Amino acid sequence: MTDGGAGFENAQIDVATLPDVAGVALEPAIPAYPRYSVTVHGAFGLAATLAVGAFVGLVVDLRWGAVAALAGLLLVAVPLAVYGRLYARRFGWALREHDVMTHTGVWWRTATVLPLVRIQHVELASGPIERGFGTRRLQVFSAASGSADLTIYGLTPERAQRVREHLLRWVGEEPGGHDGA
Amino acid sequence: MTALESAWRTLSPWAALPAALGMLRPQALVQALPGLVPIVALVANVEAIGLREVGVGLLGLLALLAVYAVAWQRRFRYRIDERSITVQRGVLQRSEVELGWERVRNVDVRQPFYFRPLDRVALIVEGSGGAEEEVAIQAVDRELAEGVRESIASHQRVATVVDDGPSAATAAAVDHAPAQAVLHQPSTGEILLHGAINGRAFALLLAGIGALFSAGQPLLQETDVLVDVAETVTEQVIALGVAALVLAVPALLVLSVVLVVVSALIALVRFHGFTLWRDDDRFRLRHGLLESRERTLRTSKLQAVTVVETAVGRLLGRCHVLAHQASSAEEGVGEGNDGTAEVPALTAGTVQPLVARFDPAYGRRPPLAAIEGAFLRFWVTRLAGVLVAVGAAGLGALAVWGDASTALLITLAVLLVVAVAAVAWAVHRRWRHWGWTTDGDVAHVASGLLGRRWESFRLNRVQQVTLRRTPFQRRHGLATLAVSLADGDRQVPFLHEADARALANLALFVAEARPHREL
Repeated sequence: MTDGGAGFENAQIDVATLPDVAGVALEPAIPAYPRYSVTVHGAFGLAATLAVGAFVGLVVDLRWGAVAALAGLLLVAVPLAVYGRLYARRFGWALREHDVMTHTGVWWRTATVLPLVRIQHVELASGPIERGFGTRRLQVFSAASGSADLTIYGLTPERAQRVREHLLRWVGEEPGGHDGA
Repeated sequence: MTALESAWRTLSPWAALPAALGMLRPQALVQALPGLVPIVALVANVEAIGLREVGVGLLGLLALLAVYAVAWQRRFRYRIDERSITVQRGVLQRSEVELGWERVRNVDVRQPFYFRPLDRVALIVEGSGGAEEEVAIQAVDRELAEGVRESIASHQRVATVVDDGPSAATAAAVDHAPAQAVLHQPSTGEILLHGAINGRAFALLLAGIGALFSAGQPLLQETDVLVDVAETVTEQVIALGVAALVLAVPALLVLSVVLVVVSALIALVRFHGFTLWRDDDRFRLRHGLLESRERTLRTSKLQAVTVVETAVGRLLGRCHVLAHQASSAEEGVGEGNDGTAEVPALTAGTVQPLVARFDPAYGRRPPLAAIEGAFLRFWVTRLAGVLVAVGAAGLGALAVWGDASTALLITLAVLLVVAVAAVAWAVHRRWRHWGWTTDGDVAHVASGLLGRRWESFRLNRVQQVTLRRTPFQRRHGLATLAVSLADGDRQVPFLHEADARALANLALFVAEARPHREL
């Protein structure tokens, strides 16, 4: 940054020739991930449905409790499980030479791109159910916020470890410091 | 500058004073509320506890606070060498923090009014790791504080020279703002005016309206004369409405005037003696009536600059500037601790030259591209739709079951039409104020409803780029672009998808090819 405009450069960039964030071939999550997502979302919906059914059954009548549970199953648990499957199948990620990106969302679609030079740290995470399905997630953090800036779901343990090591090599690196993936 | 020795030092006994006062801050009291509630309940319910006992209890509490503050002061140790500051602190739970000069984001020298006769100051050194890395040395000699600041400035200057080449290195040891370097020094009148129009009064007014209505409710219920003459539900509604207007309008007017005055006085306390000056590769700000603060703002750590024009400010040609530095979630507490420095009381003529001093590219005001007109369609149809649906349902219910007169129904229908028109006007105004453009590797984003904010930032500071598309946006080939900087997100909604992609591609190219590494 200079003062008073001395030495200030403002070369025009041909935007049309820049690498495009669209049209990148995305890697899907491993096949176990949709099953995991359906299980978790469905189980959550089922638990909520059973709780409501039990409450109605105890407070009003057992028959109405059964009706509430059935209605909850059809209106909450099944749609949630379907949402879980759609979310997992629509999820995609890609590692480019200079950034990592994810595509998430069923109705509200979000494409997030994080330049590799911005990576502050990387966490390999998994809960017990994820481990049961053999799937791992990788959380990538930049200085932009306190929460995970980008999460790659549905990785095998080996692949998650390899991607993590690749990303970690960029922490504190200058641009052009690597040959890419 | 005093030679910085690496021996451990203790704090002056005066440092116990801000420590004790710190424990009486509203935030600290709020944190202590869960513990205070049972005590208050006990006092209220046990008859044997009278005023005298409460007074003794409070004195005992204050004595405990004083003992704790003295213990804190006596257990505090710090060591300053040429490259870092190390602090050992805590009464029961001890901790040690070492902060290297290369990690320092901001150095703040503050002088509360009770330190002025002693010419002592508080030295606040903020690290880039947030609240965990903030070091406050209370009641130190001004000379030592200035010495530490100079040492940090010299170290970072050398680091900048290594990064940027020798052009950035010039010697500048400034104890006081030299006249030729002063960039902005508003008069007391200008600061008062800034306080009156900076929008804070409006926020206070909204809070006041809420309080007024909850306080006025019992009063309205007591207006038996008006309620008695109204026999039907409709008449009661009208009577209550009239009573509310009769009571509320003058009260709101008085409240508005009071709050504008309060807001102006707050600004005077906060910005009294405001001086902004350039000191080599950084800016310095000094201001404050009760507590004189001196902040350092490094140009290399600036994330973005925002020019804020409030609704009244636009009419009067006045504005203020916010200079954003990186912040962390922990630092959001307390005014002025969130990494944003405010430059108050600017005019349409002085703001652009000043902004250009922060970054020459920020001083330009290139023409902005508007966001897509679908923004209007989306928000007008949804907001007006909800309003019409709720209003029509209410009117229908009133017509069928409410025994309302035709005149009242027509009046309410007209009010509904006015409300829909007001919503449409507000959405249109919001849409008209949205704008964006790029100028080289600088992005400008404007937004606002009654007032306007013009934000400028360099794309080489972008940490992350996000493209969002709602179902409506997908149908219309639109997207919302959000770019994350180290101090927060900036977004431009309802862009044509091709424009959003092009802007995302450009931001990523600049951030990846020549990123700015300092936070």
